[in-house]
Amino acid sequence: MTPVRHYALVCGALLVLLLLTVGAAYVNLGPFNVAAAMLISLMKAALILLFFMHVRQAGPVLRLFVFIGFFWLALLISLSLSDFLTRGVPDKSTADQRPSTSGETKPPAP
Amino acid sequence: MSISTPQAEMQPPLEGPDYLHEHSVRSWLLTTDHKRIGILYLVSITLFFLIGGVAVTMMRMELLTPQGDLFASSTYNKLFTMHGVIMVWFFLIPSVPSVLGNFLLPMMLGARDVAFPRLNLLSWYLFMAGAALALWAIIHGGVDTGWTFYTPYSSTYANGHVIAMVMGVFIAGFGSIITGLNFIVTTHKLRAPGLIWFRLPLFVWSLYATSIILVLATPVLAITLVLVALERAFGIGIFNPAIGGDPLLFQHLFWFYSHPAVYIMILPGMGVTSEIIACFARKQVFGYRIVAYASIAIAVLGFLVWGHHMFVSSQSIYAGMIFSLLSFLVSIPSAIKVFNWTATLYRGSIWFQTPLLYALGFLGLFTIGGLTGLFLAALAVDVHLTDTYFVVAHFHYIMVGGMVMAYLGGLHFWWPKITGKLYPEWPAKLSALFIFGGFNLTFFPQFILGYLGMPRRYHIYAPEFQTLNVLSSAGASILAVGYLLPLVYLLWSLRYGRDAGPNPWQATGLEWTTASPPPEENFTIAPVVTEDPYNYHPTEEAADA
Repeated sequence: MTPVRHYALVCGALLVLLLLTVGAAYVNLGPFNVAAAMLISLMKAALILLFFMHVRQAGPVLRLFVFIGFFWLALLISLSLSDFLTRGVPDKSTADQRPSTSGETKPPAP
Repeated sequence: MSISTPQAEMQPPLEGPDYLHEHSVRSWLLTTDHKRIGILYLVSITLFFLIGGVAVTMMRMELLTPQGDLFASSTYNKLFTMHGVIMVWFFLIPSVPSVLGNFLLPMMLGARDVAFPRLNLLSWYLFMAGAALALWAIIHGGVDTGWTFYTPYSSTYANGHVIAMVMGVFIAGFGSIITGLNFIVTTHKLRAPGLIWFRLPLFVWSLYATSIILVLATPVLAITLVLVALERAFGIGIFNPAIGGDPLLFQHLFWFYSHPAVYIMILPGMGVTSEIIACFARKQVFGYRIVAYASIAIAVLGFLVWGHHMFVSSQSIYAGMIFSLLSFLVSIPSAIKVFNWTATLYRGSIWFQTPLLYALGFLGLFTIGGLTGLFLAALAVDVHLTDTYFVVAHFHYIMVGGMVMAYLGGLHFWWPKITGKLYPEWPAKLSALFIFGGFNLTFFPQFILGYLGMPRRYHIYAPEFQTLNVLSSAGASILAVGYLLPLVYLLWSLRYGRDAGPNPWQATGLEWTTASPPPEENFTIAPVVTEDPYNYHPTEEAADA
């Protein structure tokens, strides 16, 4: 397969996925709306990485760097979520002693 | 003096022109020579250092009295924002990597240039374009958000040219990314024959670690600043809770870049210190491999600690505990380096030249800065110290006491290589002492001020804080003299300095095997590395030999 044909095919696949993204936006999948959008985006990103960015033909060092890029993104997301997902979770050892936000004092726990 | 063995054969004496032989403006603005690009950065960041210095001079004058005598509050806010933005992004981040790194990396690797010379020039243009935009914002009224651009203030409420300023930083950031990429590829691909990874100078290891951070962290800053601009320009709810955003998301994204940015600033300084201490103690760096690994460990662990900037920001206690623990961990590789430098000095043949004075200053001031960082990483203590002058003193001990000392030490160490001239030793030593003394007088009182509760970013303060503030301002004036002296005698040396010769310090790296100033292609004969780095022999060994 010539390179031009090769890239044209990948480009075509990306356009199909774009249409799929737009189409999926009109279908209400409830809680799966985000999952569907993310899945399609991942497929697009994979196509770009593997073919347009030549990772498919790359040696081990370049592949390692690609992996590191994603790993760092995972670090950013997971440690940020360690805050977001645990906000408002009261610390049982001190929650009873904190003054309430309304200014009234809570009675001590029995 | 003891003997040393360079890593490769000395180059034959230079017969052709050196890299400075062309003088036209065009030859500078269109150059792809990494050495000339290093000098372009040197001139530019010196200018920005002076501008940032003017801002802080005015701030320190204002702080002489507890009243707001000189400036309105809004002007003071703009001054500290200008000082922070310029010093962080347009001086500290490019200081060692872009000036000394650009000049030295290919020479230390035995290469002719960096892997992508044109991209290298592009990085300087991006840096200058970003700086021009930031200066435009400053001249047209300034920005009062602080260098941290915290939302929703910056995205919704702040007056001034926030978008222009963040776009300036955004564009300059791309210069950083390109430099990092260039350094990584150069280190992988352009090492001289025989120059295996564990023969690399520790400065190269530290530049490599810095480049990893530049490439992985700077895009996050770029995205974050674009999001601020989008929210500010179009009201898209990303950070402002009133329109559905989350202000802490900004802080997470911002510090994911900006905490590692502290290591962008300090890691190259550590590399410079390793080179200087080995040369002027005439010894192998103690535990070379551990020091090299410690650079990489700092780069990696530095990414996991950002939440310690957010202990009182309503971040969850659970996340706070994780970030506190990780912050303590990152001190381990830093401490390893400090202990190993000390062990290198132990029983060395110490040669008290100016670069060593700066390196010793770095060692002491970085240690104080690092140890006070542990106070701030402790959850409970941080509640008392957050947003006080204690924090200001802590990070200045790292960034100024650490990085600027290392930068000046490196500049003096490699000045003979860059220019071919020796600087006058006596005023240089005097300036190192002025800077060390002035620095401590400026910033040590700020630890006490912060501990006593004086908040940062205020120009009107309680009268009981005046004595310490006056001491701090007095120290700043000594510091300013210390910084201006090198500007004078280094320029003087260009015309009147003695010729340096290829290796005035009898140092061991590949850059010292070639002429000073080097030829355009760095080496006339491709070097082949046959020795480990830092093959210095202390005096007694030399005598035995």
